[in-house]
Amino acid sequence: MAVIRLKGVSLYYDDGPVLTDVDVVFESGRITCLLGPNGCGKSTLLSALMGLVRYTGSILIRGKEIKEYGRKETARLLAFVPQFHHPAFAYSVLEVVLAGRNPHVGYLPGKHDYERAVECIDMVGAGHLARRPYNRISGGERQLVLIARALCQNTEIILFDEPTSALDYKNTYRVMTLIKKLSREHALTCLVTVHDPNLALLFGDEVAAFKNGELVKGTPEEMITGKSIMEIYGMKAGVFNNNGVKFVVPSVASQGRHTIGDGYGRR
Amino acid sequence: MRKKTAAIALYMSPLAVLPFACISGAYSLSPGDVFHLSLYGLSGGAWQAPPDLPREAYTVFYDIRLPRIVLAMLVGISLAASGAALQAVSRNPLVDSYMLGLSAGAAFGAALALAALPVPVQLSAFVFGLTAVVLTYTAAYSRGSISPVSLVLAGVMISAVFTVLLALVNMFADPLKLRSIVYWTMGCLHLASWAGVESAAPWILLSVTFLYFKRWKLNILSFGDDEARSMGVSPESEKRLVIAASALATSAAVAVAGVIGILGLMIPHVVRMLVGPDHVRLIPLSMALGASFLLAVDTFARSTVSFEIPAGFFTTLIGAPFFIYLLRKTQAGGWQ
Amino acid sequence: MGVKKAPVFLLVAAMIAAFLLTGCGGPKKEPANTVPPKNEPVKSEIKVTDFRGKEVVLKEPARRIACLLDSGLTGLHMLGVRDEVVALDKWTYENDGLQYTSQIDPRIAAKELPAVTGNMEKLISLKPDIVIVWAQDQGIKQMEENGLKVYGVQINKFDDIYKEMEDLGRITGKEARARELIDYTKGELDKLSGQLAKVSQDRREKALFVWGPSKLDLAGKTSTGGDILVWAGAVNLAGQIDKEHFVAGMEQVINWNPQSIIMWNNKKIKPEDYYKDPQWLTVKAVKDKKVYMLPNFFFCDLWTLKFQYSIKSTAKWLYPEIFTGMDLEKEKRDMIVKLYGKEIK
Repeated sequence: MAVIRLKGVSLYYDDGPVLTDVDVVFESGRITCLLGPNGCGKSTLLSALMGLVRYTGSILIRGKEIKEYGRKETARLLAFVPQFHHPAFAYSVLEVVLAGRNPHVGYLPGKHDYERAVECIDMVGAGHLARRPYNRISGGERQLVLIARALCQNTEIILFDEPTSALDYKNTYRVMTLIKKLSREHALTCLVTVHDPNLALLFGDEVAAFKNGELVKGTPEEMITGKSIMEIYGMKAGVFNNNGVKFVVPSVASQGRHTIGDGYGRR
Repeated sequence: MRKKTAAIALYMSPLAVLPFACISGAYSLSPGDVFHLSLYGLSGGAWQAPPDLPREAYTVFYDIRLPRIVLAMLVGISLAASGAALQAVSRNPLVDSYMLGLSAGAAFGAALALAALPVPVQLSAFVFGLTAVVLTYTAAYSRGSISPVSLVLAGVMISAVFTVLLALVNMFADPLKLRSIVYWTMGCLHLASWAGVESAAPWILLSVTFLYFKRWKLNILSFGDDEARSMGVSPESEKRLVIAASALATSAAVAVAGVIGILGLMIPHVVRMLVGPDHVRLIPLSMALGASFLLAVDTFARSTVSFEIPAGFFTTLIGAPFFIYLLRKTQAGGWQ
Repeated sequence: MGVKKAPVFLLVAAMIAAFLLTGCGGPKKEPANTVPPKNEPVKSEIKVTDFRGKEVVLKEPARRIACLLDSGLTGLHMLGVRDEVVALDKWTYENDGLQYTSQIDPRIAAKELPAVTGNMEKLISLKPDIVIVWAQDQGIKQMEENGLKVYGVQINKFDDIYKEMEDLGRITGKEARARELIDYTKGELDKLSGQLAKVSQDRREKALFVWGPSKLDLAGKTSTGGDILVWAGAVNLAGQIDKEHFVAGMEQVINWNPQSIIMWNNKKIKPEDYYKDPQWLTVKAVKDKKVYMLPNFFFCDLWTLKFQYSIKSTAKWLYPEIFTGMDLEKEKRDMIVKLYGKEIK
């Protein structure tokens, strides 16, 4: 079922259009990885889905134009996991996660909201951190906490803005695995912007990529090929298959004569 | 558990200071006198106070000491609450309600009224204080939003302009008036009267009540504009309202009590160090500590010397070292 | 901490300005030797020692005087050297006495006399024989470096006014007129104190002198305002506080319970403000309606010989039973005629 549908959408910032004529549909309960070079408009697209960017055309969420939702309604439909987070105050992890309850809070959060926050912290496996100050935990842990905060919003859609770009190797996979698990268990529709095509291959149900200002969507297998990488990033890369596990390796100039399909990796 | 104890202690602090405030002062009233006088007032005049209690004891207690106590608490509440709220919306530890150019504007307004204009000092201070905030806000407003950095920078600039204007007034003012201007710019709780309380209380109570009801929203706003939006809060309108309420509360306080420094900056920090940054607790606890701190400082000020020393003098002298001590002890109080 | 700097700076600036403008508390040197040897020939050069202790020497009486001090200007007017004044202080055009000074010098009424405060170039271009200025003025050094002769004035007590008048008399060649003015003033005050001698120590009024603009801005021990009370035969209740001007606590005032209150003329408060303030209800002076405000400072300021009228008024208000025959309006008229040689209304 189509949860998000964009028809003939152009997005504008003050100094002109960022994306033009986008047509795309995002299906319910699936993880879509957004690929594209820096500055192509990935983050702008996520902002547009939250109704924060001026646009023409039609952005429908659950069949209703995004403009027509109030701010709070939008926040009950979509949650957002930001890329960086600099807390101004030394809130505890629980307090940060509780903030996610805001769209469901009238005046002050109640007992139920606290319970839900604790539950969400447990869901991301950060239960032991609940009382710790948010600014004293590691970068990977912070990302988990922000995911817990988004879960706390009880939305069916979660937008992730480069959730792994500040993380080390292990935490990158820890976070992506968590996203996949949550999406499966709670039927969440996830839009994840990533830089590494391997993550899209490993975790994406679908891949949407910006090619020359156009948004193209398909399965990871269709979308991530040497040709496609060339179209997206303008660089050479090879896609290998090891017993059914596909992976991408870029062709780096300094590696001289080795080229794709040339037994690359066998020195 | 430690936080809970601290919170209870903070809520109780005004009650702890109050008895001392009632019995201290140049005119000597014993605890017994105060007891009788209080019952006399509470019973609507029915209580039989000892006949040897002189007439002026009633005046001192009800018309001089009580309005001053009430005003000190109101001003403390107003400065502390608006300081906490502005620190949240601007996500900036160096902010208090004076940052928006308010104190400089109000000081200029008061000086102008003292030196030249035939208008009441309070009114002029109030109007110029708010004018400065509007100017700061307008200067910082761009593309439909207010960035914390431009707000602080605009505030510094507007303050600088009004400070120069104040210096200009001072240059032309005669020495007699000049002294009043100096007094005024450092706080003038000694001018407290029921009339002053009546003129300031509605503004202060209205504004701090508003901030009190917005305390959960302040948590969300303190995450920054983008995150606040994603969590269902419109930062533009919410911030505008919070800034307006803080400015109103502070202007009203400054108009009747002069510029009492440090308090609006310090109290929220102290509370945060003790009970954490959650605004749901921070706002009411800041109000409580603001009230008791200013009341304690003013009680000290009016019972130590035979002439009046502006309250701002003591809030700064007592506040600054205490604040620095806490800052060092708690590793910058949770600020990164 | 940039944000907090503004108010602090503002306070410091205001304090410095207050210090400079009031000029109190600064170093003060008693004049060393003001009176030259009696037998010196009249035509020789004029030597006076100003309030800074600095000797000023003129070859002949000054014909071009820059008077950057309003009270000094008043002295010159009394001495009858109106037309010799070539420059003024801005304050002369801004103060509440302008309507009266305008009657003395048509050039002031027409705003023709330049106010040169802070304008060193203009001052030098006027080539004054002497500059009369507040002894604490920051510009004195520069004036003297530019070859101007400077007479610095500092009035801390009423006797200083006599010295100033004597010196101005010598500077302008009007010694006899200066003597006459001083003798008149001393005479009037002697008459007054003669009558006040009837008041026994224990019957002396206990009073406060209010500078304004707030009801609690009082004159302490070292102030001309306090001296007015003392010279008018009263006890300054605030005399125990060693300050020129301070702000009293309301409870302290209740403790003092003054019998009368004398107010310096100001626009912010009137005696009625005391009468209608519940905080002052039990104060004796308020209960007895004995709060008085001095008239426009032109008639009674404390830095010229007109201070005698402040003392007279205060004495009459405090002891009406002694000064039954005194008509303050007539006293004022007579004094102005004596001091200025004409009526000023």
